[in-house]
Amino acid sequence: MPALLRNCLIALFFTAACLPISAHAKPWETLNPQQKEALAPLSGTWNSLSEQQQANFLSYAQRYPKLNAQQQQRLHSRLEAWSKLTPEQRKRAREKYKAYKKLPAEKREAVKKMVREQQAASGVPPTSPAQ
Amino acid sequence: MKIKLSNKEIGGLLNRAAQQLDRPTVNQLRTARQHALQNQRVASTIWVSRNGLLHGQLQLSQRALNWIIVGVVASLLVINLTYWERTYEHDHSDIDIAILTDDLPVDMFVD
Repeated sequence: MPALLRNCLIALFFTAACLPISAHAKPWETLNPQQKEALAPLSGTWNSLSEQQQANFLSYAQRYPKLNAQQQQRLHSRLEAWSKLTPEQRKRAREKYKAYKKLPAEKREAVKKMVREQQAASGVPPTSPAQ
Repeated sequence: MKIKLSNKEIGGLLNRAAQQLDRPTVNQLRTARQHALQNQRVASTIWVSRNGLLHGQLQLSQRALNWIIVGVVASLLVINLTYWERTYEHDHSDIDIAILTDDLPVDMFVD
C-alpha cells in the first residue's frame, strides 16, 4: 500500500474517532423537577431547541438553586429572550458585559442610574439592585 | 478463407513473436509496462443493491483515491472544529448567569 494512501487512512481513522458522538435532544418530559423549575420559561420551546442549546440551558439549571429569589426571578424573566438570540449576539453581549464589569465602580453606578432614569421615563418598572 | 484463432493460439503467436524482437524494443516495452503498472487504475466497486439502483464500477486512479481521502479527512476536521467551537459556548454559563441576573437589563448588552 503506498505510503500516502496508508497515511491518509490513518488520518481518516483518527479524524473519525474525534467526531462527537451524536447526542439526541432531551424532550422536556425527561427533565427532572429541578431542571423544569429552573427552565420553566422555556417549557413551550424546549423541544424545538438544538441539543447544544439544551446543554447550555441545562448548565444554567445546575446553578439555579444557588441563586437568590430575586436572581431566580430575573433569570426567569430574561431566559426566553436570551434563548432567542443568535450565538453571535450572545457572544457580543458577553464581551460588552465583561467590558462593563471592568469599569470603575462609580462609572458602573452612573450607568445604572442612567438606565433607571430611562426606565422611569419610559414607564418600565426599574430593576432593583441585587441583594 | 477466414482462419479462426482461439485466445490461447493468439497468445502463443504473440509470445513467439516477442521472442524475435530485438533487445532495444524489448527494453522499451518493459519500460512502458513498468510505467503502465505504476499508473494502473484501481478498480473500486460500487455497492450493488438488490433493486439494481446502484451498479457498475468506478474507476479511480491511485492519485484520485488519495485526493478523495484527503478531502474526506479535511471535511471531518472542519466538522470537528465547528462542533467544538459551538461546544465552547457551553463554558460561558457563569457569565451568562451573571448577565441574566444582573441589575441591568439584558438589552443593555445586546446589539
